[in-house]
Amino acid sequence: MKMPLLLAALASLICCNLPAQTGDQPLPPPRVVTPDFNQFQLQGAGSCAATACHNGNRTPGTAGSEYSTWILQDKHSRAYEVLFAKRSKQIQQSLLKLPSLEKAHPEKNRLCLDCHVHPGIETAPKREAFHLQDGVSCETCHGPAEKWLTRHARAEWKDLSIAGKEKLGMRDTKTVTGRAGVCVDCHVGKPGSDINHDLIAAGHPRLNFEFGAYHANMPHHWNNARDKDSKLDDGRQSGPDFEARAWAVGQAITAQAALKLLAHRAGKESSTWPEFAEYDCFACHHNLQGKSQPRDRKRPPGSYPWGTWYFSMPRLLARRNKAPLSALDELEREMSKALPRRELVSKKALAAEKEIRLLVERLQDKRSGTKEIAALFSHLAGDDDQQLCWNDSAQRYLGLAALHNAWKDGGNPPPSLAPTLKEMAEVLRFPKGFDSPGPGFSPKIFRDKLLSLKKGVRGE
Amino acid sequence: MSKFWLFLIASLFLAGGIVFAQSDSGAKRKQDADTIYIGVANCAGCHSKKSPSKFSTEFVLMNEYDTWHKEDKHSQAYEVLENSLGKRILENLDDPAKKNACLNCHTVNIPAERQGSHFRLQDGVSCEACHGPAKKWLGDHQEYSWRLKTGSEKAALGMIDMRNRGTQARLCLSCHLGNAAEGKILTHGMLAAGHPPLPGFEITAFHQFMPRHWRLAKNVPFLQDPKLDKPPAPFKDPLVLKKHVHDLYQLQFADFEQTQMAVRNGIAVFQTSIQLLAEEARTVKDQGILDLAMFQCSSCHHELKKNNQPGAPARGRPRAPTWPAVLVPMALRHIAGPDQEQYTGLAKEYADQLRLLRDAVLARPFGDPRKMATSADKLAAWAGRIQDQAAKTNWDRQSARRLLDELGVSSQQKELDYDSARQIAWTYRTIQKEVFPEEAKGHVDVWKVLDRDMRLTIRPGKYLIEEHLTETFERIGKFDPAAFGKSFRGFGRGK
Repeated sequence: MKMPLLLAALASLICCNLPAQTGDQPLPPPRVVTPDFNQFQLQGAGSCAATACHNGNRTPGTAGSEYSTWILQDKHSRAYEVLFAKRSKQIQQSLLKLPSLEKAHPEKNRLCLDCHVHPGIETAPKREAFHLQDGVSCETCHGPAEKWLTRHARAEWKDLSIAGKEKLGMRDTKTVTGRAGVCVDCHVGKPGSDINHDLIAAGHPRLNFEFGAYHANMPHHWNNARDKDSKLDDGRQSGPDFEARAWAVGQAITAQAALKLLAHRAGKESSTWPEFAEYDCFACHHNLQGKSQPRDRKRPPGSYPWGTWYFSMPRLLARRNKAPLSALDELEREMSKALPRRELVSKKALAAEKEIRLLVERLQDKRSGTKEIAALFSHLAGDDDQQLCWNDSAQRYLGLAALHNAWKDGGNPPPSLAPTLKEMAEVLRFPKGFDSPGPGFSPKIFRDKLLSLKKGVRGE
Repeated sequence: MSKFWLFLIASLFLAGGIVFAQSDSGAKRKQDADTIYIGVANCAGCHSKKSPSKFSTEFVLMNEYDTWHKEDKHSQAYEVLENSLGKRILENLDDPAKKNACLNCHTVNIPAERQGSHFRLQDGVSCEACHGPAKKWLGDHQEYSWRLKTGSEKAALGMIDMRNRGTQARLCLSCHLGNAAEGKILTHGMLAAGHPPLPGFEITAFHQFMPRHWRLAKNVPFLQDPKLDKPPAPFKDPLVLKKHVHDLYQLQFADFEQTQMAVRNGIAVFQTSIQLLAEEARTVKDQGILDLAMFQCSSCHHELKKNNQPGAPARGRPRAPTWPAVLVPMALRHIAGPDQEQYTGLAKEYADQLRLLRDAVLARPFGDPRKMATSADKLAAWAGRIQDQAAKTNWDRQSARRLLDELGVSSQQKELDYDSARQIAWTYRTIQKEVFPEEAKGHVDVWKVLDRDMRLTIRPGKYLIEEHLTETFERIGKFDPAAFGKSFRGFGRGK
C-alpha cells in the first residue's frame, strides 16, 4: 500500500464539494455481456493522439486532452518502460533463477507484458502502429478501436447504448461496474496474469487494489464533475453519491475478481499451493517480539488469516445489504488451514463469487442520500469489537475516506472528521524504508481513532 | 573453500530427529513398561548436603539434588506451566488435551502405573528424566563397584549412560530440539500461543547455564587416582583397576572432554534435526503439510523492507532451520584431520545429499513431504555414520587447532543468522578455553564484544525466561552477520 495514495485520497475528498443532492432515478440494468475484446484489432495510442481529438494538451481532465493527461501524468503510460529498469530485471532473474542480470528480459516476458501493456498482447491482433512502448494505453481500458475508431467521432455515436458500443469493441468505462471491471484484470489478477507469492518474493510489489482510492488518485482524463452530476442521462450512474457507490461497487467487483483468481489458483494442479499471496502479508511478515498481542479469537493460534484485504469490506456490505455470505464463510474456514484442499477451495470460491455477484447487483442499483451515507460511515467507524489487523484497518480507512468524500459531495459532515481521518492515515503509514507496519500501528491505536470518528459523527 | 561452505550453509534448511536410539526404541519401550520412576525424594536422601550421607565425594559431588533444586531451571519446568505465561499459552490453545503435549518436556510424563509412591509430576524435569527410572538400580548404584560397570551394563538396569557423548546429546536434544516418537514437538500453534522459541543448543554452553552438577573427568579424584577399599575380584591389582578406569572413562582424552562434547553435539544436533524433519514429513505424507515450526522462523517472520536486494534463489519458500547444520563442516574437518582429500570427499557427499533435501524443501511452499522424508532419511543416516567416525577419532592440540580454524571460516558467512553465529561462538569459546587457555586470555576484548552482541554467557540459576524475551528478540533483531564476522577476525583467523 502506498501511503501517499491514502493521503491523496484524503486530499481529493477535501477538494470536491458539490451541491447537496439525492436522486432516485432508475439506473440502467447491470452490465452482463463481456465480449472478447481481443477479437478486435488494436490500433495503437497514436490513433487517439491527434491534437484535434484527444491530444489537445490543455488542462488535464478537460475534454480533448485525454491523451495529453495520460501521457504526461498517468503512470499507466510508463508501464512498459519500467520493465527495462534494473529492479525489473532483478525480479525476473530471481524468479527464474537466471545466472546473470543480462539474461533477464522482462520486456519480452508474456506474464509481464500482459499487464504492463495489454492482456493477451502476444496473440491479440494489432496494427503495425501499435507500440508496446505506449504501455497501458487507451485501448487497454477502452477496448481495441478497430471497429469504432472512425465511428466514435461522429455525432450519432452518442445515441448508441453501452451495450451497442461494446458490440463494436468499446468497453464500458461509463458505469462504476464497468470501470472497476477493467482495472481488476491486472490490479487483482486473473488466470494467467497472476502476481503470486513467488513473484512478490522475487521483488514485484504486492497488489493491494482498492478501486475507490485508485480511481480517485489516477490522474483523471475525464471530467470528474460529470460522475457526480445526477442530471446526466448517459447511463453512467452519476450522482452525488458517486464516490460512495464507486467504493462499494469497487469492493464487490474486486472481491469477485479475487475469488475467480483463487478458484483458478486452487484448481490448477501445477501452480504453487498453498498460495501465500492469498493471506495477510503481515500475519507472518513481522518481527518476532517478546510481548504477544492479544490473539484473534476467530481462529486457532498460528493458523492463517485469509482474505483480510479483499473481503473484510464486502462482508460488511453484504451483511448490511442482506446478501448471502455462507460460501465465503466456508471458504474462509478452509483457507485458514495449513494446507487447504484445492478442490474444495476451487468449488467454494466459485460459489462465493456467485454470492458476491448478487451483492454487486444490489450495490450498483442502490442510490444513497446523505443520511444513508452518514449511517454507513458510522457503521464503518465501528460496530463490532473484533481485532482489526492492518489490512482490515486500511480497508476501513479507505472506505471511510470514500464515504466522507461522498458525504461532502452531498452535504456537510461534521468538521472534526477530516482531521481524524488524516491521523488515521498516519497511523497506517509504514515507517521509512519499510513495506510493513511499524510500532506506530496497533489494533488498539487504530480502534481509538475509530472511536473518535464515531464520537465526531454524534457531534460529541 | 569458504565460498563452498557459504553456498552450502546459505542454501541449508533442516530440522531434526533422533539418532541411534531409534532402531531399538520398540524393544526399549517394552522393557520400560516394567520400570518404575521413584521420584526425587529418593535421590535427595543421599545426593544432598543436608542428608547425613555416608558416601564420599571422590567420585560424584553428592550435592546434585541441591544444585538442581536451587539453581537448575529444569526443576521449575512444571511450575512454569502454571504461572501467568503458562496459563495464557494453554488458554490460547483452547484445547485441554494440549496440556499433555506440554508435559512431555516439562516433566517426566509417565503413566500412573509407572510412578513410584514418591514420584511427583510437579518436580518437573527431575533426576530420572536424564538418568533413567531408578527402581532397578537404586540399590546397586550405591555400591562402590557400580562405577566400574560399563555404560551398557548400567543401561540394562535402566540407568541412562550419560557419559556417552552421543546418548547425552540425544537426550538433551529430545526436548531442546524435539522428538516425534516421544511426542516432544513444539508446534507453530504453541509458539503462536506464546511459547518462547527454542534457542540454538550448544551443549557445553548449556551445561554451564544449568549449571553443571558434575565435575569434568580430570577433576574427579577417583578417576585420577582410582582406589577402592574392597575392589571386586578382577580389579584386586591396582594396575588392572587403573587401566580399567582409564579405558572406561576415556581418560586419555580427559583434557579434551568439552571439545569432544562440543563436536559430537554439533553432529547430533544436525542429525536430530534432519531426523525430526524426516519423521514429520513421513507423518504428513501427501495429505498435509509439515508443522510450520519445522521451518526457519525468519523465512517468514521478518519485517518487509523496501528495496531489499533480490538475492537468494527460491525466495518466497520457507526454508528449514539453518543453525543445526552450522557445525557440520567443522566435524568433517575433524574427521578428515590433515587429509585434504578425505575432507573434500566428505564435503562432496554432504553437499550432494543436502542438495536433494533442499530441492525437496523448496519444491513447493512447506516442501514436498514424500521427497523430504526420503532425502532427510538418507542425510540422517549419513550423519549417523559421521557421528560413528567422530567417536573413533583422536583428540589433541593439532585437531583442536583445526576445529578452531574451520570455525573461523564458518564465522565469515554473509548470511549467518543469530542462532548459527552463537553455535560457532560457543563452540569456539569452549575449545579455546579448554585447549588454548592462554589464547582465550589474550582475546578477552573480543569475547566481551561477542558476549554483548549475542549474550553468550547466560546467567545460570532459576528465573523466568519470559522476563528476558523482549530483550532477546531485540538482540536477535539487531544481529548483524558482518559485525559478527569482523569481531571474529579479532581471533586472527577466518580469512
